[in-house]
Amino acid sequence: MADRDTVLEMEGITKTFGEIVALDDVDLTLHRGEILGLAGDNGAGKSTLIKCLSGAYEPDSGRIVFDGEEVTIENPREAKALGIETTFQELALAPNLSITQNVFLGREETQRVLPLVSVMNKGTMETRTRELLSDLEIDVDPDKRVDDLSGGQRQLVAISRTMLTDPEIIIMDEPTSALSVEAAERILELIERMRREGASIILISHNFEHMRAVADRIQILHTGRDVGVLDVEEATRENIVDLMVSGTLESEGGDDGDPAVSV
Amino acid sequence: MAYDWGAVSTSSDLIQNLLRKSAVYGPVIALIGIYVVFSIMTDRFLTYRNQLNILRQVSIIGILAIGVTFAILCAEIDLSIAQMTEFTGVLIAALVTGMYFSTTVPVPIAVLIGLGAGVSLGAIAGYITSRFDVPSFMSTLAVLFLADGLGLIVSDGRPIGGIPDSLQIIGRESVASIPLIVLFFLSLLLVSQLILSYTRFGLYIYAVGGDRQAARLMGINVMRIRFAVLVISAAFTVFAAIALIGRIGSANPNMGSGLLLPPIAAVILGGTNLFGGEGNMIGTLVGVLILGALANGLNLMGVGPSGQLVAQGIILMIAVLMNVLARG
Ligand SMILES: Nc1ncnc2c1ncn2[C@@H]1O[C@H](COP(=O)(O)OP(=O)(O)OP(=O)(O)O)[C@@H](O)[C@H]1O
Ligand SMILES: [Mg+2]
Repeated sequence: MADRDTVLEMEGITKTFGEIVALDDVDLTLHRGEILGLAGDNGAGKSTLIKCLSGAYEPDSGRIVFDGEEVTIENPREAKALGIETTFQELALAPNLSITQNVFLGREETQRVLPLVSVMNKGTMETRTRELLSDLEIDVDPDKRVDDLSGGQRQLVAISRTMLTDPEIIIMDEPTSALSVEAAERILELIERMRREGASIILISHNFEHMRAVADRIQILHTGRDVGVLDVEEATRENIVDLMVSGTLESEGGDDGDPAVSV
Repeated sequence: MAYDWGAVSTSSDLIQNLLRKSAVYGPVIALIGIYVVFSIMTDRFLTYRNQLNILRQVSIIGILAIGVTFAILCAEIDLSIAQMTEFTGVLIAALVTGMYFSTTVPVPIAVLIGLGAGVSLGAIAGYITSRFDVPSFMSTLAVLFLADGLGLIVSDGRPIGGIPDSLQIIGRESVASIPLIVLFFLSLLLVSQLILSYTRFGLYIYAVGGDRQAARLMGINVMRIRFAVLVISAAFTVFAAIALIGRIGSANPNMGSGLLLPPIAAVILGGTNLFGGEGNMIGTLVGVLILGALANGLNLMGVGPSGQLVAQGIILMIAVLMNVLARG
């Protein structure tokens, strides 16, 4: 069943927080080299779903098949080891550390100075961070502490982390929510560039224009349930809103629309 | 349209920077102030001899303060340090004086056993805190009682004399008139600062102390870091115990009295953020010296222990206020 151009398959993912059912039997398929949009109202379960993939949460039940093999992702380290990089909605920046330290957090470059003693290669990391920042056209000193940055700058710093390695899957949870129009466009360009370089991407956004500009397909969640996947051509604003709000395509044909519009 | 990301929040930056710098320079300025005042008030304060004296007086508190700095930077605390110093001290003393085995245990082996015991207790607190998310002030409080009891059991509640000279070297001898205990304290401080500044482990302590959840999401093994800082803090109680045994020439199960709060106070006086993520060992050195110079100077001026405590209380009150204000 391992489709050659399917890089990731999530099947029957369920996740509860006490009484709250955040995800109820959700499926998700990501094709190799595609950009999959993930839409849904606030609280629909988008972040929870991708967090099951990035190791932040463990699903209560369900399977994850990555590159044709079933995997369990118990923590963020394991996700990174598999080649899954995430820009989290909450950014996951340490406010007390510098931009460079945040960009490299968890994968610092080190060099051995004595047997058993490795020190961080601060110069190399700073140079690389400078490059990343100028790539995203952020004009700030990489030594600056993150809690001295504006909201948009923080978001850009969090995004720049995904450019550090060459991940197989990139997840971006509302990466443009705090950005100016120009900065958001640069991020959309970045997303397309990373796709050209071979990554498969999941993009969560409340901005339909952004989503339609780059996504190949758009999957919609409604109150923790998977209510359908639309190809970008059929993903009109009305269709997406219908699915987001009511979980069904009311405007289509008038009679009970089949919610699961699949590829 | 050209836009300048850097200029977004310049003026609030400036104020923030000033406040943050006050957290770094405030303690240094306070220390200089104390030195100026006592140098004017008494001519016996600023002598080479008296300065060595201060350093010697603060060394044991300083060694414990280094260990606690690791914990506080990581947003943890260790309340067991005084009782741990007592327990590991009497354990080592009991072993080297032959209280347990028919023969005496060689000093290096006794020290290793003491270190093993200390680290094990630290590991229990560290495991409970990191694995089950029990606040470290609770887990180390449990270890406080545990170590207190174990110390009494091991020593039978009595002082242990007849300590071999080789175990007393660090606490008693000098090299070129500089007490070894001072060199021991300063070397531990230097190594600890290097770890914080240059290793990934050091950085991760700050990351976990700054935002534990962010650190986890970035793939840092938060459990391991939280565990490690409590183990390190425990290890430093063994170093302090060895220095203390040499200084007083014996070991007893009450020798740690007064060794819990001054090290913690010194760390905060040194500008380390009460809630973790900011600070360093140099600050802790400054904090320890503030406590030591204040006590020493007041002593030289004929102010007794009660007056010294009042002065330390006032300084600490100001420091804690600054500590919180500086972080807005
Ligand atoms: N850690 C948590 N503990 C308890 N409930 C949670 C937790 N995380 C999410 N939830 C709940 O799960 C549901 C889905 O939340 P989720 O964050 O996945 O929504 P979302 O689709 O990302 O929304 P948004 O667009 O606002 O980011 C919500 O009802 C939320 O309250
Ligand atoms: Mg979300």
